[in-house]
Amino acid sequence: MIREVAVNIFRFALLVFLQFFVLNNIQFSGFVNPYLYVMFLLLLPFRTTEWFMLVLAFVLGLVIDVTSATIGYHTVATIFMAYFRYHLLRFIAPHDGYEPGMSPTISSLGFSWFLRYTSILVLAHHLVLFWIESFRFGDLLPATLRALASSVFTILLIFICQFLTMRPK
Amino acid sequence: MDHLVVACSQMPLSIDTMRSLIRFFQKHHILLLFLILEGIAGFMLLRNNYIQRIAFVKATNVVSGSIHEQISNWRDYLYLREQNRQLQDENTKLRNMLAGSFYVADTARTFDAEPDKLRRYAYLPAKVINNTVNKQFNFVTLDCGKDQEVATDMAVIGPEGIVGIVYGVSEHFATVIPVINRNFRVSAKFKKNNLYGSLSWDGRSYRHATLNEISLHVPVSKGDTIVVSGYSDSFPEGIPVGVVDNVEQKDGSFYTIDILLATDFRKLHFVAIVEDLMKEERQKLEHQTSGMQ
Repeated sequence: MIREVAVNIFRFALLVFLQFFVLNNIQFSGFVNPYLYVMFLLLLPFRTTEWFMLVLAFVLGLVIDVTSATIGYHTVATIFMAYFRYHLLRFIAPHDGYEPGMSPTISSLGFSWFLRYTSILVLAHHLVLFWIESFRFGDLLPATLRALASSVFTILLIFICQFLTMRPK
Repeated sequence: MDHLVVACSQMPLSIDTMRSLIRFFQKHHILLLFLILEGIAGFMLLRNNYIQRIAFVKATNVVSGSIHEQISNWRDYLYLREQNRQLQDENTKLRNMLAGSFYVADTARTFDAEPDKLRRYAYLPAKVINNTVNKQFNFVTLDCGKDQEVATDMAVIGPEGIVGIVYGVSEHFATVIPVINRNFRVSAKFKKNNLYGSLSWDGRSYRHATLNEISLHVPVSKGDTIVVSGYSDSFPEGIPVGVVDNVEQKDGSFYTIDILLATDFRKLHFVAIVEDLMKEERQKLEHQTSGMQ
């Protein structure tokens, strides 16, 4: 339990650090910006209480907003993603349910389950983020395309991180 | 008697309502928490008016300004070649303007105008320490602030041309709204015939901006040079904006002209902040004149 909390605090700090120092400074082809920090919410253990996850999402969004000098954009998107995760997990649960001590990872639930889970949540987060960024101007199509392109990079990075941290069985 | 009856009949009803209300909260507490948190975030998002934004920019400048400066120091090494080329270009341009590079045929007939010249614009060099190009509301952070007498609404230009307008200022840093921000507007004109329109950004590409309000009778061709018009409150007249890349005729009687920007915002490293030394005088006079009506 204590180890789990420590791992998550470390992951939070590392992802915020990476987002601020590296990813916000890299812009693939000018318009694509991966938001790897959402991985923190993706990998929270199954037994995390829903209200606590919403609060964590709020804090994460706020920290990212402050470090990237945007107001509220990331917070709205992360809270939405956390709420969505809560419903999605029930929807795509495997037949025998989740083991309470587990976290959603490739090694615990397999490649295809993790791909589905990650893609849906990352896409939901990115769509909300890019839509509200351009929302007062009505041009949703370019925002959607940018959200899709950025999602591909974010998902790719999440998978790379998963393979790097995977323990050999 | 009547009152008592009414009171008695209301009592169980209100307890019932309370109970069902509590049950409702118990059942939907996650949804409620979600809505409350989204409400707070949405409130922050929608309420970010001009003044709050400046306060926020100030606060983030203090927190992240010095960190951005460090990052920028590392990044400088990666772009030294490009920077050198830009600075060299600018030096060449300036050298061309020096008195010594003009051929004077008859010195007796030349007026030495220098002592009579009144300075209108003062330039302050600044370094870009943070810069975004992939957002709808991009901004640039510079390493000078109040200590260097930078103030809001001063123009910022780069070696290639227009960059933006100073927005927030803290002690040692300043933030700039660049051309590639959807709130940016400037009056720009054709260099060839001085016809002017309004320049703005449509959020699509960091290399392009849009020139609006150009009438259909104006001859426009690809490659025409666009510069800042003299109507701007901050920019000196004639700063390069870009060249015409594509002309589109939207319904109505105006062109929508796609401009390839002179400044490549991904390669922005050194800029100059322009202070208009006569701005106060001009604004005061304009204010008096408009107040007369």
